[in-house]
Amino acid sequence: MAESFGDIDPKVDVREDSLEKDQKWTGWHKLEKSLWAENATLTDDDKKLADQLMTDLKDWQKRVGTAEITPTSMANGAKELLDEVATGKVTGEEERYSHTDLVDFNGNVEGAQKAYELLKPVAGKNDAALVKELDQQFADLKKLLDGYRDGDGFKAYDDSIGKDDRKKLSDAVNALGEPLSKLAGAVAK
Amino acid sequence: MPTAAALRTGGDASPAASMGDAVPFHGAHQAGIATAVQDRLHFAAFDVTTTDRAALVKLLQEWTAAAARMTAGHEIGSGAVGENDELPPDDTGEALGLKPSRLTLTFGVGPGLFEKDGKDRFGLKARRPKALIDLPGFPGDNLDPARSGGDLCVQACADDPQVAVHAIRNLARIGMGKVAIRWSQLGFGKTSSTTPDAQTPRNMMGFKDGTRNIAGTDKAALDKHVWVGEKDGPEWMVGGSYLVARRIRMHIETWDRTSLAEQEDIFGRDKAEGAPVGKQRERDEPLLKAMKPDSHVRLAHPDSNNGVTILRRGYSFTDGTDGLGRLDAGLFFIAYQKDVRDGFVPLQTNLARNDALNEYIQHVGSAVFAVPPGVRGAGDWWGKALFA
Repeated sequence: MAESFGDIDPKVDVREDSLEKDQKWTGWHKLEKSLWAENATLTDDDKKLADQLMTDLKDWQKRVGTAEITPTSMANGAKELLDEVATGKVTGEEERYSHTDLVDFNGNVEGAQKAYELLKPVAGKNDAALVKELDQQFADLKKLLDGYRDGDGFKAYDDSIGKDDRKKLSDAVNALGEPLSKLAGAVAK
Repeated sequence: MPTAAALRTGGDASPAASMGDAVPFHGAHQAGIATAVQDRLHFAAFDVTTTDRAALVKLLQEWTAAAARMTAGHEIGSGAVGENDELPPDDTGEALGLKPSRLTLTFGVGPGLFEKDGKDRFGLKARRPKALIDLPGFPGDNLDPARSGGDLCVQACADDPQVAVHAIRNLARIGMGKVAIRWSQLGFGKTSSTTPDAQTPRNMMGFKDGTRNIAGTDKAALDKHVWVGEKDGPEWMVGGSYLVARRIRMHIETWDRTSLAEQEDIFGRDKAEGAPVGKQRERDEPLLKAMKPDSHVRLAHPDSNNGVTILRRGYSFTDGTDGLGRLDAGLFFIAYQKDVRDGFVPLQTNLARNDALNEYIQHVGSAVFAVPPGVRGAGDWWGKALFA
């Protein structure tokens, strides 16, 4: 959904290797690099970036309330949240410094599930089998994620989580993502 | 002894089938075994991830329906541009406008379907064929678990690589939530001969490969060495076969530095013509005693193995380079046989111990599958007799 607020996303969520020529690196990934990959402290410049990040996110929060959301766009939003997990989070590339990918992963799944629960009454009328499948796959994925909980959060998504574990997570995301891609069709019927 | 002409075809009774045509999906045996060998391969091994037998059965029915459509050159489900544009299309679309390209889809079940980690997963343990063994280790094996095993497999062969890849991609997509691809392998060059008129293909070592192979036209040899018969059992496998797949990495760079004389000694054939040692032509009957005792052709010959004969259907592969600048290339070996215990196992035991070629190859992936008989018609599906 953040992509729907075109000018904010690149300010808060850009990665170092995605910077265009002369583009200043801002947002949380820059701060994460300072904290986890460099000196474990924020420079004065970083602190200014942190203030700017808060301003940008508050601006984004305000705009969210005014966004026009249709049942189809909400269903597609849920699908896209899973897509983000499938392409950027299960690989560990997004949080390469902080290794908090599983926190994001869980956030995306919860967001997708919230959207799904809101659409479920309509979807269930049009496609009962799809709803049954989605209930099952959401439950399976959340159960798998629960195995990685650590205190209030999640284990670091680093070398301690090997290829076999990552493949299981990836398979579970695909298992949910495929039926979730049919939700928009079911609410638009 | 079959004639030389029969020996050198790996194909079926209709070698005249042109490259774009469809190969019939239904029949007593699955297509893709005795069928004339197509140019390209995409082989996929799957783990079954569901624990629900009914969901697995439903998937096999959906897979069979999709396979029948794709091998005929049709789109699956509601097509690549369905009627509802709020839905992702059922068919992924990259085969639109392409010919059937002799696509065959051959389905098999691995040991893990019957039992995994001591568990009888789907109530099938008692139905596991005795011939579906867990392969023993062989000297020199360096198997990567991530390229080995699998509960199910689909071998997609076609003359157009995009047609083969499309088939595996769509089956994998249908399977999500029930099965997950464990590993897959692309092959680009067939390494067994097809029609008597065609030139025998060469493997990545530059030698003709598959000069002598069971012919798709040789019913007696197929019945003797490839198809499971009624007296072999179990009943659900009659008309089926057993598939062994091995990813054989070749040490390309060191092979290329080997003298021609040594290369020819290692194979037991000359490089240009493919003639056995001391003979003039490729199809001349080999004189095994003229070859070095550790030459590949001599050691692999049925006469050196109490008559063991398998149907080879392998493909060359090159998966780019390996990070050390070496070509990641070799042979994706596929063999079909009536019983692995009388086929691949004794043959590979002999080769792994004695073959001079071992200095230049390494087996890095391995899998074995029971390949059920053919799908008979509309009410039948892959594995129906197994799940009955």
